[in-house]
Amino acid sequence: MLIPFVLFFELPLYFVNWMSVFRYLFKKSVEAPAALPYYPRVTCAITCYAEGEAVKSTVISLLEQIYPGPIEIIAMVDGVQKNMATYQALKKLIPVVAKYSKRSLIIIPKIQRGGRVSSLNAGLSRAQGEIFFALDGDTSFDNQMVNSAVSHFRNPNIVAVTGPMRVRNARKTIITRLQSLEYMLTMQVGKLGFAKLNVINNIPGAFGIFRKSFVQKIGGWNTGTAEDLDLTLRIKRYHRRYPHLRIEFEPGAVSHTDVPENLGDFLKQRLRWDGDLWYIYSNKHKYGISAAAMGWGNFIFLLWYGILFQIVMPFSIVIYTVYMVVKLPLHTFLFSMILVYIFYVGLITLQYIFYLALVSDRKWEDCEAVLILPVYPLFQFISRIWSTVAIMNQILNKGHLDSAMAPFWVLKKGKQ
Amino acid sequence: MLIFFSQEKTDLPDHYRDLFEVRHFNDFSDWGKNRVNSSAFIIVGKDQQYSSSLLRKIRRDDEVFASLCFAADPVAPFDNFLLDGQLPQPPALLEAVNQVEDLLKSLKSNDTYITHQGRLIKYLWLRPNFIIQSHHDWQHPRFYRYPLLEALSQDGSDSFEWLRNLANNKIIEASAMIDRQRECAYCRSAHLSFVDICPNCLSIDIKQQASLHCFTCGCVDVQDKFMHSGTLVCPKCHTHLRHIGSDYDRPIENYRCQSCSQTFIEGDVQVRCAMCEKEMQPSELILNEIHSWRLSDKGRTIAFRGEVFDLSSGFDQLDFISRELFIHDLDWMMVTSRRYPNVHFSLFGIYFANLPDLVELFNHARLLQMLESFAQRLRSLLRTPDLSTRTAENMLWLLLPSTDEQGLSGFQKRIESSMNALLEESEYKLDFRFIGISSQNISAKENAPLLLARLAGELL
Repeated sequence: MLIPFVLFFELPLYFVNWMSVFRYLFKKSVEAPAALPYYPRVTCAITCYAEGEAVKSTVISLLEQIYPGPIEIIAMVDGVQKNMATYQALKKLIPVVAKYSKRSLIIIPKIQRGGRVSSLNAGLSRAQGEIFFALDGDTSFDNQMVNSAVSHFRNPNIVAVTGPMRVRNARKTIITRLQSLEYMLTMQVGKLGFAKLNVINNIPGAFGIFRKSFVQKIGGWNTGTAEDLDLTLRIKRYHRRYPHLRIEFEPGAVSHTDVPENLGDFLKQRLRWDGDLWYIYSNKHKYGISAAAMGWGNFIFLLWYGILFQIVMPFSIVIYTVYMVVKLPLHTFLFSMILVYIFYVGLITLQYIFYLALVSDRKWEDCEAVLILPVYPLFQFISRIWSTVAIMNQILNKGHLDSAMAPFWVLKKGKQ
Repeated sequence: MLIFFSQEKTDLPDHYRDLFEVRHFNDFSDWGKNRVNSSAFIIVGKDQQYSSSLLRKIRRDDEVFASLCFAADPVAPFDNFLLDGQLPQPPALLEAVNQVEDLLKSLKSNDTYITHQGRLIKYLWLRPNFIIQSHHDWQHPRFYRYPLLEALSQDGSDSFEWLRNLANNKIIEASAMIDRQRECAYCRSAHLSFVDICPNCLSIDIKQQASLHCFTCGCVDVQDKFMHSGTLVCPKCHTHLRHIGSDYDRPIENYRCQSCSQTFIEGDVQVRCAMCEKEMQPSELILNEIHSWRLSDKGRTIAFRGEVFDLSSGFDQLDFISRELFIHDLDWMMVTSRRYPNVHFSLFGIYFANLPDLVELFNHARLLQMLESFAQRLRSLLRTPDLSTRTAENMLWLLLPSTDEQGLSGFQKRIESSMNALLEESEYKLDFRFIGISSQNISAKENAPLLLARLAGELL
């Protein structure tokens, strides 16, 4: 009774993903790394809002990059009159930038708040670099991030690169620890495996690296929420006509971001993220999800991961659980739930061990997550149930019009 | 009479001859044989060396150093400071000559002008509103030179030293600040070089180096030692340093001495003089302010009296006292009269409202003669215990003990009649104002500075 959806939805996905990761790791261990010098001018565009002093660590981590080429940092401060603290923090960095060679900082104060999309497009129009890094003001980076990400662009077929995102504030609360483990398994392992199959689900908005000429050609970012997923899907639509185009995942390009610290903020964030999935799949890209546009590989992946896993499965879990509560005797229900729990703990532990042994770039730090393993299935269960709330909210409430990412009058102009 | 010097057989245009008698000489020694009296010297000729040597000889001469000198052709920039300008048209020239002759009449002729200080005063006196300008010369040890002072000085003494003495004696006053420069403490040269040195061993062999600080083991070393095939690895504990702020940071010690290996935040600065090659600390350098200068009132006074004239000199028997002492005594009188009602005193102020304007407009000698005779009359009115002071050039105060209201009005009448008698003799409209107050009318809340300020305010 319990087995079917696990079997059909999840296990094959994990299996395929891990196989892809193993193949990558094997290839990496046998192939000699080709490190030909390629150091074009790059632009790091940081979308800033209410980060305040925290934006400094983002800029400094970019200044500290071990990259022989020039790095142009453009910080777009949206709604600058409201976010004076962020703007002042950036201005204080100007003398610091002068101490670094080949690093420059441009601050674009945007008086009229226009949202993330407007900031990114403003940065794109000012960018001088060949490679455009779309970054968040609350995300910082390892000092090899630029170098390892840029090396992929030597191949002219690579149009976009992303990398692992790690949770910077993991130690703060139990909620951040849980998200940290989730990021390890989905952002570090999941994206790596999918990217190697060239079916990456999404280039995150906080950390996307693009060939500037390509993004400019496809018109930059588009109005509406979930502009990152929108752009990823738009890139994927070229796959059929230009099958050589690739989106890469670089495990060495590590970013560190802050995640919500309490349950309320976490749920609010997921309400938007999961709701946006529905908005994008059912609305903006209603006609774009086709094998004719994105090729069979991506089409099947999208159906499977995007539609079945992310949209259908949460509903089936809710319906299934309600069904069991109603139909089964209490002890059978509890027994089934314990079985499910044990199954998931086992599954997560296995993945975690693989991750720690093969993928993790900070093994000692990641060991701390072992304490959270027993709680993690519960967290996943709550997340899934919340997904249905989010999707329902989107369907009934047009939740995408209620986003902190852009003002209402901007969101309204997107495709409804 | 115009003397014009020229090497060629040229002549001044005829319209100069209409107004002046003109004599031509080949050079200064030629003229020196019989030293014909002249109103102005005119140098004609394109040879700058010729005009330069002539100018210098004129300015160094014991008699004619202050004469008007004009050049018909451009001279070297340095020599411009010794000239009275390009040769003007005859009417303007005549006006200039007349002005100098007029001023020369009021100049007290005595032996003062043998000294170079006296020479300078005479030169400036004959040229009202003249500004002693500096000339910027990068090859000169001090960077700034005063060509006029160098020419007028007979012993070639240091211009800055001379200016300092003149300014201390209040003969000249600063007109504008040109520059502020630091000079060698040993030779006063402004040709200095500043070198960063190691604070430990004083070696100049220091280098700016980016350093890193590993959080794991605390190792601080130059960044190059951390670089390992494109990544940062701590040379001591071999930790992979990936993220600034969490794995490593940058220490503030950015400099490293190549000879003693000391790392430091900022090097010391040592100054080396390019002229005397001595080394010193920046704090030892001497600050020199470069000004342009002009003749002060006191300087003008010396010019026509031949000595320092001060209004106070007319008050010798009255002990013309300092302002501070006067205020102190006034305070004491005020306190005394409040305590003892039978003690009276009066305060009397004399203000010459248009004195500064008259100084500008008229012949100094006549004006000062008049003020001196006023001082004499005033002296005859004062008694031995009366105190006087001066709070401004044109503001006199008299403290009259044992003078009540009645006594004060009597004093004022006498001084007014004396002033009027003086004005009848004089051609000048001297605007003088009096104010007096006796101790009965002084408010108990007032003190001496307040009282003086209030009365001075009423006079203005």
